[in-house]
Amino acid sequence: MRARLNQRNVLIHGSAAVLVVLNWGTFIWASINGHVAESGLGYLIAPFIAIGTGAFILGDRMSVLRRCLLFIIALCVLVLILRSAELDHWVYLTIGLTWGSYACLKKLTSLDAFDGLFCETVVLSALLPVLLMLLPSLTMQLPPALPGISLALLALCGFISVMPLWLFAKAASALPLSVMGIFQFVLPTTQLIVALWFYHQPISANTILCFSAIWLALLLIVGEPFLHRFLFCAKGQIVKRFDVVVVGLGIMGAASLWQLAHPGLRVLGIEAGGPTHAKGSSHGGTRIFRRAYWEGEAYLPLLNLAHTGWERLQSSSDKRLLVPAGGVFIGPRASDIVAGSLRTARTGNIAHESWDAAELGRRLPQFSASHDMQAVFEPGAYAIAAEDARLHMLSEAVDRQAQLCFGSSVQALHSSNGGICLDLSSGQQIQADAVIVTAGPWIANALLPELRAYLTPKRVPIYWFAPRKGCEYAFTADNFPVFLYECKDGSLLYGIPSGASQEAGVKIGFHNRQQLPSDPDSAAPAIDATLIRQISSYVSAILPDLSPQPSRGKWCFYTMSGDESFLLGESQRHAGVYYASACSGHGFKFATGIGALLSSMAQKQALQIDITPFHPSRFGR
Amino acid sequence: MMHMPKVASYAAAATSGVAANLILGASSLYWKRLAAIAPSTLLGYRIVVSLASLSLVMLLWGDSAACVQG
Repeated sequence: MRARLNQRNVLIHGSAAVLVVLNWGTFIWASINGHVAESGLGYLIAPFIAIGTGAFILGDRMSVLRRCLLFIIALCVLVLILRSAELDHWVYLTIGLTWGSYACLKKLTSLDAFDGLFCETVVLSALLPVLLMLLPSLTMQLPPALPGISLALLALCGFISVMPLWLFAKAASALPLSVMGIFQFVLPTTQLIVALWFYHQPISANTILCFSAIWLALLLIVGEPFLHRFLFCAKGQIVKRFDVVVVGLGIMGAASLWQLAHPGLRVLGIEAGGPTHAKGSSHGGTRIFRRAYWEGEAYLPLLNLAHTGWERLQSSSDKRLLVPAGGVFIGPRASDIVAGSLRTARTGNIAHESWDAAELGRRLPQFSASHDMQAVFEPGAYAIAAEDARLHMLSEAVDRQAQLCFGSSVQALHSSNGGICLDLSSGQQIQADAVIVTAGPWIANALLPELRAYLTPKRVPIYWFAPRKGCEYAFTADNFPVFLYECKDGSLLYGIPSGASQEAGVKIGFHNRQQLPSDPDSAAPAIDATLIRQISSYVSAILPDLSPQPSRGKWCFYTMSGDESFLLGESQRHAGVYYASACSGHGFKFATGIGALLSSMAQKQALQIDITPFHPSRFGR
Repeated sequence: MMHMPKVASYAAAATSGVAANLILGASSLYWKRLAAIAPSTLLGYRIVVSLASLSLVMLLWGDSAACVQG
């Protein structure tokens, strides 16, 4: 958690702490002074505050229906203030504003609910002594004759904060967001019942009317997607039917579409961003392809399938999509990099050379390596011109009559009439016989929440380093291979020669350091100076002929699984929905293979290789 | 296609979601029982005891809590 406590998160949770204290304080005051209908009303209007803030401050898109409903709620609150004299208006306004803004803030953080509330209570506990000193009326002194039962109850007050949080997290991990929305009714309704039943709080007809109107408006908001489906899908007014729809056109989706598309099949690819957006994992100029795979022989069949695919892709393009640079994997003799690469190369019969440090010094003097280092050289490894390859796949797919749709996200998937119905953010509905979901770090949000427990999206920086003056040619793909370098402290760096794409400089990053768990919808922060210092110190030690300061840095997303291997299979919830995810920072090279497998799955054809090693059932959940 | 264990885990998750909100909604009655103590004092205790409880929970089930969060 310490790694995630950057300046941004501290600011978010510092502000959230203020909201928490106002919310808790108001709630306790209202509970003791018999204003429970007001606190319930506060929780009822909170979702609208969250939606309103999201729309006005964060720029979330909002449908016409939502705008109208938001206006109606505002009107109801106005009527309450003017006509419900029995209410303490500040109570619901405070609770609604604090709880709604709190929900909004929580969208921006990369901490989970527990770590978040932990930070907030730490901040508040630290401020408490200050407040106690400043405000003489505030005291931690308990009344003298407090019965034992009250003391015991007081000791349980942490439970009131933690237990619902735990239960809510348990629900959120297994249920889609649309179902989670329904729970928003339970809290305010319980409060209203408690107010009437236990407190006998006097409530005017005007209040009941407004409460009901807001309740109905919330119901319409939660039910909007269902309503939409009822109006369109149920009456068969589907905009279009396809045989296969691919959701998410990063490299995995593009490769699937490329493998699928042929004139006899109605295929559609949907991408929420633009054709070259840089919010996910597939952007940028280059990637590595290697088969002496230190990660294990289990990947060999998929690597071979992918290699055939990449060669086929290259043969269909005039552009240079594969840059034959060779690959070198350097590390201490017993390291995974060296021992693992050798093992896979031998098992897979992959051409390779084993070098000691002296040989490495002769063949690739660009590297600095101590005498106890070893290297495995794979002459057949190459760099892939990543963006060009992906765009070429899409272009070829369109040539073979696939359709593409950019700028529309799929908000929900549901099984209907023996097929799958997709609700798009544009309001369109699409019916498909099979769906391939390759939505990277977004995959578990609304589409496949069943995968949520396996995935952690992480932001990872990539850097570019310019060669020192006079050394430019030493780092081009003719003279310098793609590389992996495991340092003695276990840090693993990868790199790609300059000139393999339009990007200037040698691309270098850590494979196993500098990973920040992040929400893919949160804005990317600037790359921290400490991260830059860290990579600089490693690069200057292993490649002294590069300028130690990176010329550029950029964030990428790694969608990590627990064992850093992939997830490939059919949804348990929707038959006919197939997915690939958890590329865990090394998936790109497999795309042509995974695309071929997904294409076969979606067309119910026999699979080219056994995919059980990549099925989520390996986690035994 | 939905299998029985899937339905059961759905039901468990839905029950958790409802229970979380029910507990929060009914917690007014809990604070009412403590009306002998000033609300600001109760707030102070809620902060400190929540921190202690959270630390305990995260220490004991750190991994499983993280797992639930996915």
